[in-house]
Amino acid sequence: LYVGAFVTYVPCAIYQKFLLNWICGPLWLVLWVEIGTRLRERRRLARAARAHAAEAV
Amino acid sequence: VSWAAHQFEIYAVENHAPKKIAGQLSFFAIWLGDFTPDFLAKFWVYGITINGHHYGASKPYQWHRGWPGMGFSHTLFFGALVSAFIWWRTKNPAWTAGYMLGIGAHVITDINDSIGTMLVFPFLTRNWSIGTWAYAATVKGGKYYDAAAYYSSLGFVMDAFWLVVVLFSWRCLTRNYWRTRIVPADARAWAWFSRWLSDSGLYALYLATFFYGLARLVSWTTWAHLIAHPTITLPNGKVVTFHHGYPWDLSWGGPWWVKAVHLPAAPRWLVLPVALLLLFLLFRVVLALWDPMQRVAMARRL
Repeated sequence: LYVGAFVTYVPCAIYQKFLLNWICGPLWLVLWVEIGTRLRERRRLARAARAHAAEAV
Repeated sequence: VSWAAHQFEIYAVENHAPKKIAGQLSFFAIWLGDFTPDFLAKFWVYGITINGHHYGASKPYQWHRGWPGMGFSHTLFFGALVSAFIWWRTKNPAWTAGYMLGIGAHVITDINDSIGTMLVFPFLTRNWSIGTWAYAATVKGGKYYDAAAYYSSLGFVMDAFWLVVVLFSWRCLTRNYWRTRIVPADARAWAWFSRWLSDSGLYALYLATFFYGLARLVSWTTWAHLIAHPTITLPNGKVVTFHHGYPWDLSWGGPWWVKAVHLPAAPRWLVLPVALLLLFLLFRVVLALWDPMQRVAMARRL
């Protein structure tokens, strides 16, 4: 997640320099990690639920 | 002007705090202390342009670091005043000491550019500078020119130096360090953020300043040396367009293509000894006040 945040932020920031400020930079990382973690967790739960359902069948 | 160095030094200050206060300083307070001077002064340094009219300081260096101007925001005296205010309002030693050390780091780091800071304000309004690199915030050049100059000079080395300092103390970037040392020192602030963020988000919040500093270093350096096509006036008056970015100049006081600006300054040979002495005194005062502050905070809790 951290590497993902870095490799997306840096190219964007090079070409859109308004992103290179103390609000956008830190916020980019925090949102990337927070949203990424939640999506990952949701996918894990969905997978677990599917496996459980398959077992029940 | 220091750039990513200000982001990295926050972690260094927290991690290398003296034993007595190690692990007891608020990370947010150090961050706020390090951030306040530029938050107050820098917006007007670059200014904004609306419909072709530029609103901002006519002499950015005077506004940023001088007196009269916002130069007082880059002084230890101002840091002491705000720290006293924080203590008065919160009676929180972690915030009071953290803020003072954060702003102290910023003020002393900024003696490196050619304008420097008013180290002994209000007793003397002269600026103290060792002139490691040229101050380059100008009305015409704005933020881009300032960034290009910084990342073409020893300023780049300064950022790299602080990055190495933090990387040598890599444990301060780990989740375990954050959980066992950073959070307990300022549990209330972290609990407040936990209303909106998960554990991973909170840890990312801790690393966010480091992330921004690293991204800033890489982005501006890449732009300045690979993408920009600057037109620069050479010392002989000839105007040349550089197709492969701004020229590097890692000599003392560089880059050569920045026109030097000056404010009334203290003798250069005196700057480093005085800065080191003030840094030493800053730590001595913080350490001397730490126990009395703890006693007051403890009495308040009971």
